[in-house]
Formats: sequence, structure tokens, C-alpha cells
Amino acid sequence: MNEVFHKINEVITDYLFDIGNISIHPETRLADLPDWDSISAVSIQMMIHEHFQADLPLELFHNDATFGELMTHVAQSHSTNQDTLPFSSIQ
Amino acid sequence: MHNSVIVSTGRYLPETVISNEDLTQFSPDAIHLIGEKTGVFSRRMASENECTSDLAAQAALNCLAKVGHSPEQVEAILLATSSPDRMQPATAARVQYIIGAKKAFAFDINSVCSGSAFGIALANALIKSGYCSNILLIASEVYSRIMNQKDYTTYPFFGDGAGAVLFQATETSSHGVIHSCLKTDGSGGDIISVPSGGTMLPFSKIENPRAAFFRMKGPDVFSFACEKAPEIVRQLLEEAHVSIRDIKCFICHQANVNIIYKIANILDVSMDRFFMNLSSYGNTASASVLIALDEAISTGVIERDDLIVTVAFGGGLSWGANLIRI
Repeated sequence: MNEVFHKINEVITDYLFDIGNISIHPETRLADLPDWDSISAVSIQMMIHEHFQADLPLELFHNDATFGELMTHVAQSHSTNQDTLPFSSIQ
Repeated sequence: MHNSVIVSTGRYLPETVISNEDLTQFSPDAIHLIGEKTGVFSRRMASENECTSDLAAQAALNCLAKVGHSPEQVEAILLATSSPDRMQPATAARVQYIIGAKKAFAFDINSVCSGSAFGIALANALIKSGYCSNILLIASEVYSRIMNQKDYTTYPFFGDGAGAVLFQATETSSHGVIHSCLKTDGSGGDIISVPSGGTMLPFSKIENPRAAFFRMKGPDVFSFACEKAPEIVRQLLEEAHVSIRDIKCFICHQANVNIIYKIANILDVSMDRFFMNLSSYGNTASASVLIALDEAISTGVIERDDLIVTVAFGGGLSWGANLIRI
């Protein structure tokens, strides 16, 4: 999982203008991000689509959701789709 | 001293209409948010062979043709744009060539979305000084080329388009540009920007390709616009000794419907006095005010003798307002 969160921290500023000094961990809530709003939610949804190859519904990106929970949904999505892409191969 | 009166206006919107539903790069459940958050339901997109100067030239020719003003009579072309054809030369120079305004000098103004406000004030100053007897002010943008198509914080909200106004010197009329207020706060320079491609971050030093695209910190822009736009309108009217009740129509930069609602609310002006075309064209940056002005005049919303206010705000940060009698 460390590799996954390293990736998230690496790419998240491509999707959100400014996350301040926050480092993303599994327990980081989406609402902990500065200026969090519905536009930010779609941007994180895009990030997961592009970098983790998972299409998660927008309703999962609510204020109290954590990045750890989102990554669990990503893993479940891959499993459901019989997509064997492991996190270690994420580009 | 001369007054600068508006003798004609024009606009050009590219033919291709892109609806929110056409933005298939975003998830279907994100599409409804675009209209809800911004009031934008469709926008125009320049064709592959059109660039900013092409849109500008079409708006200019439309403006000149309405009053039979030959391009060769134009003395100066001021082009507001923040999405120029090239880093250099000025996009206005190509417009001058395309429309055949052989006698005109031409230059660009980059005040981002405030370009119309700065352009109107500058055109008025050049005419009032006696340096020019007519000026063609154009604002043209092709933001579809400077944005990342997958950036939800910018791409759905902007559109391409151009507007134009022909100003003429007159000695007797009480019509024209009555007063202008312009402001800049460079401390906010990172809030709206294209980070790379200039001397601060040249292309050769770009590590992240996304730095080549337009970026905007939406919540900061919202706060800035809602504070500064009403403030400068009040200053404009106070300095001109004009009551806000006398303003027939407000032509506000078409950035976001919620920003315009907020500005109207703070000024205690009903929304029906704010001209709106945001739902069809999106945010066309510097061009939005001139496109709206032409549309308001051509549809009869604004008529001769009406007193209007234009107000715009954008990157820089910059903001400005103009009081005009049509």
C-alpha cells in the first residue's frame, strides 16, 4: 500500500490546485484537503480513473471518505472485474 | 476633449457546440454538476484550423460591416487575449493583416479575464488624448487549446469566442465611456495562471506536462470576484456621481452564474439587470464582456441612451469596471 500512497502523493497536485502541506495517508479524509468541494471530488475520481484504472461512482467521494477506503474500493473493483492488475504495476 | 462613443459592436462564436453531455472524458455522474456549479450547459469550440486571431478577425469584420466602416479606416487595433496565437509576435498584428487594416497599429493586452475592462479604458484614453479618432477593440480567446481536457477544475467551464467594439471620437456627444476604474493585485499571480512557457518556467525546464496548461484555484477566484467586483462597481459609480438605480444593464464577466448572483445580491440589484449568456457560451475569458455587450445590443436589451456598467475580473489578479452611455 505504501507504493500506492506514494503514487497518490506524487500525482494529486496534478488534479487539485493546491493541497498545502498535507501528505496523503490511508486515514486522510477527503474533507481534510484544502477547499474540498464537489469539483475536487470529481478531480479525485479522475485521478483514480487515470492512475488506478478504476471507475468509482461519485457518491463514494463524500466528505468522510478516506483515501484508504477509496483504495479498498479500487481493489474490489479490480477483483470484481477480474482485473488482476496489482497495485505494484500501477503506472 | 473628445468622448469615445461606441459606434458598433460585433461577435464571433465558432460553429461547433459542445454540450456538457459531450464531455465524455468525465464520469456521467459528474456531468450534472457542471451546470449546477457554474450555470454552463454548452460552449463553443474553435475548429482545428482556427486560432485566436481568426476568431478576432471574424468578430472585427462583423463589427465593422454593421456600420460600413472600412478596415482601412481603422487607426488602432487593441486585442485583449490571454490565449494568444503565439508567444510573439502580438496576435493583434495578425488580425490587422487578416482584416486589411493597413493603417492601424496593433497590440495585445493581457489582463486575462479583465481584458475587456482594461481595453475599454485604454481605448477611451487614447481617443480622449487625441492620439486616435477611432479604435477597434477586440477580445478573443481559444481556451480549448490551453486547457488540459481532463482537468475538471477548468475544462468544463470555458469556451472559445470573440467580441469587438468600434470606438469613435466625438466632440459633442454626451454618450460613450464616462468613467473607468482599473485595479491589479500582483500578490495573487498564482491563483490563475499558465505556469510554464514564459521566462519563469521555460518549456525546456518543464518536468510535469500539466504545467503547460491553464490552472485556476476556483475557491479563491470565487472569493476574489465576489469581493472585488461589487467594490469596484460602487467606486466607479461614486466617482462618476451616478446612482446605481440609473444603470439599465450590467454586463458582467461571464465567469460563473453563482458569482454573478452573488455580485447582484451584494449590490442589491435584481438579476434581470445583469445580462447573461453563460449557459450557452461558458466562460470566454476576456471576450465574455464584449460578446455579451454585442448580444445585449443586437437583441434590444440595451438601447441607445442607456447607461450601462461593464465589470470584469481575472488573472493578475486584475479587475475593472466601465461606465458607458450607449
